[in-house]
Amino acid sequence: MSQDGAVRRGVISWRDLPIGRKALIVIAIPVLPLIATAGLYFQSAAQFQAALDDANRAWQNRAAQAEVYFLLVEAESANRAYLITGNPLLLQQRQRAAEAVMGRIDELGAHTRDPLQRARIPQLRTLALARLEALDAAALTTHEAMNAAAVRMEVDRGAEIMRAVRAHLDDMVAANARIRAARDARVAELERRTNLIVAMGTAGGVLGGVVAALLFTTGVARRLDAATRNMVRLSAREPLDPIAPAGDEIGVLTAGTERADRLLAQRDAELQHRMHELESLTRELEAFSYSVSHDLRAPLRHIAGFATMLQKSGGDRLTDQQQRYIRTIVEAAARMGRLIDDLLAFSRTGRAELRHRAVDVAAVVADVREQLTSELNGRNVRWIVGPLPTVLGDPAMLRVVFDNLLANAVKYTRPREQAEIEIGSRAGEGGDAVVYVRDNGVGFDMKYEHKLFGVFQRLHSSDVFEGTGIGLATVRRIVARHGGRAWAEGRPGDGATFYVALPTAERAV
Amino acid sequence: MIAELKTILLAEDNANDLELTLAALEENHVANDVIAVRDGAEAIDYLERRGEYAGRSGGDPALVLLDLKMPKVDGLEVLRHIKTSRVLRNIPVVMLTSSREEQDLIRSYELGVNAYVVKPVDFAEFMNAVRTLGGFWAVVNEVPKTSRR
Repeated sequence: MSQDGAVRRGVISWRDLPIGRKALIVIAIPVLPLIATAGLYFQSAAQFQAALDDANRAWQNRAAQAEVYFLLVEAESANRAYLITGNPLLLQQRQRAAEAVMGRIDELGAHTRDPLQRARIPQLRTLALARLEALDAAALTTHEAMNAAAVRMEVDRGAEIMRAVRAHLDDMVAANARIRAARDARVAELERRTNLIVAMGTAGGVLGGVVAALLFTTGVARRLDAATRNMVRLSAREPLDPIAPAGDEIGVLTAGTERADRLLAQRDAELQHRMHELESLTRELEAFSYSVSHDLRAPLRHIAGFATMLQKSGGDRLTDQQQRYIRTIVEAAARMGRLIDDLLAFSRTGRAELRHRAVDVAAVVADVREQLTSELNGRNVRWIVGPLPTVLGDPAMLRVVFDNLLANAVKYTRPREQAEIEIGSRAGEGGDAVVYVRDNGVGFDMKYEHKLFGVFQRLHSSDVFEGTGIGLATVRRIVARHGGRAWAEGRPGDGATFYVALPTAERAV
Repeated sequence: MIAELKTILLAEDNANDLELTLAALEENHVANDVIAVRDGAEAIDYLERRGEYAGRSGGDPALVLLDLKMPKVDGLEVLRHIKTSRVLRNIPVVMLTSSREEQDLIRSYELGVNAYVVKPVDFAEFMNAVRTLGGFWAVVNEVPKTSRR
């Protein structure tokens, strides 16, 4: 994908290259010139060194040229001294000097590059040899046969050769000077060139670095920064900055961020819509319940009321059977009234907003107990109340829970001589508190435990124990809305224990 | 204390409820004179002596029993009218209704209702309530003599 974007209309856009490739280019921009510079430098340095060697060699040749003359003179004077003194050591000296001369000339031959200069070397050799041979010839003339004329002849002859040698050497020296000048100039020039290469290379490296930095900043750093800021804005649900699309990884990131933003906006809108729907549904339900509480009760009142008035107006004229019929009508209406009340309360527990307060369970239980005393009618009830926790929840709703639980305990212990109702608590899991209500009433079979908390589910018929079967369903629903749990244990004829787990302040928020 | 002949104004739109309430009132000999109106507009007309009650004789009622839901003008409107009127506001008003909804209670008390009674389904209970109500408001309770008699 990135390559297509990069090669649009045949023009490669810097921005669209993958970041890996960008990185390579950015690194290459200062590095390649530096490498090239290094190459040029080494090449130039080698040339410089070669030029330096050449210049040195020219000096050496100059020295050798001087030595040739000097050594010839040395041979000369050794010879003369031998001629004069006849000391064989002087001959050795002359010999050494002669060998040295030839050695130097050989050196010159080996080390001279300049063709003109090389051309002069055979002549030099010839001349030197001539001189040396002349010396040799002179020496062969034993010093006994030496006479002034011979010596003068030798000297003259020698001087002639030496003049020639000298002249030749002068040529060579002059040429050497020119050669040295040229080579020195070349050395200087190469030195300049090398320094220039280093300077330019450094400048090029720096410039390349700057360019690379610019390219990186514009191509990667700044864009990445913008993309990152957009991502931060996304998570803060703030509006995003528009960023030009690109074909590289940052472009993908940007496009993804924008898509996520659009999706989130869509979800937000959906959520809003749903919430509105829910709110209007809740309002409808409220209106419905309100209606129910008013309009369903009215006919019930009329049924009960007129049935009672019928009974009153009939009086003794009514048979027992007829009286029973009327009583049944009244009781049925009353029962329906209770069902409506319970259903309304149950539906309210599902709809109403939960308040979150610290609720002192002990206080609620004490309050409920006081309200229940009127129903006890002098029954023998033993209350055992242990320490009870403070839980987090809606005070009114929690009151309904304990109202139901205690009322049940009171109801189902009615057959007992002495009812025992124990209310206690223990710590639960995850910061919850478990409150239990235990009674010694008629209990229940555990195999119906799952039915206990169902709506309108009862385990006893209404003539044994009255009730609508919605109390425990209400308890479970309220407790569930608090994030807790309700369950029960029991044995038939041996009492029951009802547990509710409720959150406390310790529960991780 | 002399038990004077006291009037009770009863506003109730439902015929059955009306009959039951009247029966209860009569059963308990609460008042001699129960004026029954079928909606809030009639109730206000009676209290203000206008409309079909223009120029009526007799003083203000000793007690007004109001249902909440009535056509034309509902119970809360009548309550507001009574409690914001300089001449009428001392008249005791008791809401006698089937609604136990919190909002109805709150609104009624905000408007200054003297009592709020929810009509029970059980008729015996209802009789008891009416007896208690009538016995208190129409007999025991005193109102200032500045009320029109």
